[in-house]
Amino acid sequence: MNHLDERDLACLTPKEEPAAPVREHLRACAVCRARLDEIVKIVRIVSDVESVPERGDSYGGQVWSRVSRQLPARRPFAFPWPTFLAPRRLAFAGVSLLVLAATFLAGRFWRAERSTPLSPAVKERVLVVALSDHLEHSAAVLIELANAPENGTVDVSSEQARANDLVAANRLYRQTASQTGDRAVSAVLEELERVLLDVAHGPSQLTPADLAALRRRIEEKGVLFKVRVIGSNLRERGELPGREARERKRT
Amino acid sequence: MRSLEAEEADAASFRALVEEHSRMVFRLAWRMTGNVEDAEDVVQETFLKAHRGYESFDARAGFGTWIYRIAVNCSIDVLRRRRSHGVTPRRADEEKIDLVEAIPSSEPVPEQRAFAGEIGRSVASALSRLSERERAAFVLRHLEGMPIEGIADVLKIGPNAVKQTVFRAVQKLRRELAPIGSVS
Repeated sequence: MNHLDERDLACLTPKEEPAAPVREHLRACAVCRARLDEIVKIVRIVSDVESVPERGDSYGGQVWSRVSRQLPARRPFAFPWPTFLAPRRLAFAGVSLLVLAATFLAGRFWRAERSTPLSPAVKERVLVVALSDHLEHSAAVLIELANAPENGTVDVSSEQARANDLVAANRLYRQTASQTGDRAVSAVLEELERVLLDVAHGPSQLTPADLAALRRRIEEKGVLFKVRVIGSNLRERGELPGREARERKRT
Repeated sequence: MRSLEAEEADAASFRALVEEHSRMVFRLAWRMTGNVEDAEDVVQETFLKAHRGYESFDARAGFGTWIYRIAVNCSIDVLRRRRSHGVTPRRADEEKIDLVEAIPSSEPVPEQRAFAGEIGRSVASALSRLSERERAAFVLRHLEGMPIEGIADVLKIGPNAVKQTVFRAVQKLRRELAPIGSVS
């Protein structure tokens, strides 16, 4: 019997399911199982000692306070991926989105008999509100998934239903951005759409491994962060209050 | 010429990035360097480098991986400096690792403590014998649970080289830690 490559064995981790042939081999081969047990024992000894000192919720703020003091005072910081969030780009994107989305939005917000054309400012504001709301709702779904409890199987049917509702709207915004040539906005909405589709079409009962994989995906792509930044910039630009504040105002 | 409004928006974005990733960077830095003081330095240096190097960041790549890469490189720099100055890790003396609770034994507490201290020192010593790359590969794979492809991306080596590096690290640790738990 050919044994497993020791390099592959050394990389096996309980956090990842091994490939089926590896699983089969380990089931049948006592030698490889014993080798793997030794590796697992070594990792356990190291990880038991490696208990990372706790850092509280305020740690990020403390780090920012230290880092910000050392940043060049007058150098403008242009973080790369949100360059599309610069006000000039946002203005262009907003107006461009508006032109193509106006037909759709007009159908939703105006009755057919209404003949008075919308002023560009009103159209733009309607779009900003709609997109901002969409991003807030999407972020809320991602946050709930990110904070779901890890013990046992998790029921995400509620988040799934909401993700399903958000997919159609997201597709509209993405297509509009794509048609106006705003590839950066379109890229973020595309990433968001993939995650929403994963949630909507995935199982409604997530195992801890499923949940961890989904969280990794959200974190790796930075989807939640990007969505929050876009939403925040839209609100600032349109001087819109957050959803909670708006809802309070309505009631 | 960028407007003040644009600068403020960018600074707010960067601040959010720092606040969101600080704990993750600290955890990685602590596992790489083995002590709090160095880990805090790595955290700070990582974000300062991120700020300086924003032009090299690919907007389509995951920024988590990007920050990871910077943090790993900063940690490797600290380990190299430490090695060149002949400084030994201080974790066993400095950290409050309560291994006593983790040891299933009915021995008297002072003996448990001595044993726990011994394990801590042995592990710190074993880790310090790894090369910087071996330590990074081991930490990323076995403590951070990162996929092989992700490690390859962070360390800028091929997946096979990652496996070889993790293998070498495990072999060294196995030799060093053999007396503990009879793993030879």
